Amino acid sequence: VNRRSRLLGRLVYSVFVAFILAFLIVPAALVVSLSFSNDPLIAFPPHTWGFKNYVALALIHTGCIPLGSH
Amino acid sequence: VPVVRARRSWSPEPSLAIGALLYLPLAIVLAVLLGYPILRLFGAAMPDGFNLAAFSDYFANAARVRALVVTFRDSAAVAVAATFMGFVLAWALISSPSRPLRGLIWVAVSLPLLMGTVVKNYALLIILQRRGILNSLLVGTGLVAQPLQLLYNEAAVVIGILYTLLPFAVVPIFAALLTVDFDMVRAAESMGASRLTAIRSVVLPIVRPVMIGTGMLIFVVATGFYVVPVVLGGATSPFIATLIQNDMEQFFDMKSAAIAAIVLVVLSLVAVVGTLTIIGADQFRKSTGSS
Repeated sequence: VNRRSRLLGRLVYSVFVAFILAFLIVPAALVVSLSFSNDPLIAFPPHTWGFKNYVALALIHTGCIPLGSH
Repeated sequence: VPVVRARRSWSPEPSLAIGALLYLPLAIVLAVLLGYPILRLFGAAMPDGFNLAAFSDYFANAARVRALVVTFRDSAAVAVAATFMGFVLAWALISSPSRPLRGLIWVAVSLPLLMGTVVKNYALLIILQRRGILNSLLVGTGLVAQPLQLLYNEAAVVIGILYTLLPFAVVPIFAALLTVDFDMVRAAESMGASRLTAIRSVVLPIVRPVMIGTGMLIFVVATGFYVVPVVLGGATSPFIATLIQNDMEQFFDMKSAAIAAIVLVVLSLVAVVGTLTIIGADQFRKSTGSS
């Protein structure tokens, strides 16, 4: 019984740590994945994938297009 | 007759004047950045001179009292959850033999700090909305029949603030756990205690002041949150900061905004003093790292 309860405790602890890690990582992973979306509006999962946002960012940074025009 | 001037005896303790001079820059900074704004706040709250009637009027308004209650209830929930989850993560960092897991935990703890406030909240918005990831998961696995209302309530606000402040709980508790001699935990386990009992009876008494101090700091910071209650809480979860913004930007009522700000400051001070009383001034100094 002692060994079983110890294993159960370890399982609960591991699940809880995994839950906290997911809580911290999932929003950031979502932002990264959405940055590769070519959709005009934010939607998850994206309908089309690509580098549109990165290209726009580079063009804005180099002054080729004004901010907000992409 | 030659004049013999009495030489001052050397003392390792600086004189009162030197001490006052050394404190002068700090006193100036505090006076300019803290004292003056608070005096201006009191001036804006009581334009006709010292009068506490304005504060009784504030507490007579049910909407403002509700905002106050929501602010402190949600902040307390965030403080408790962050301290508990922070302890669990810090314990995993200390006790895990797996280097990749420790690395993953550090990366996870750093992620909320690397994202902007608005980006973080929109990510949580996408997760918690009616057709969001979490509801899709819950409905898809059959745990719930209909999508849950996860947004625009106090739970969403608590989740949002917790996401931002959890890293600030992990780091100090991890630092406190580094000072614990884990031979004591092993000794407790060798005498028949379970791991949980060993943590409760050996580790927690040592790190308790840090945990209480961390919870208090998170509570005080959480009471001032503005973006999370607006984006994730909506109209159902007003924070005092939301009311202050409404008073200033929509109603141009600086007096009410100043009173709300004073109430927030005073109640946060009460929380700090309460914490000092609970854990003792010496242990509080230890927990916050000041000498």
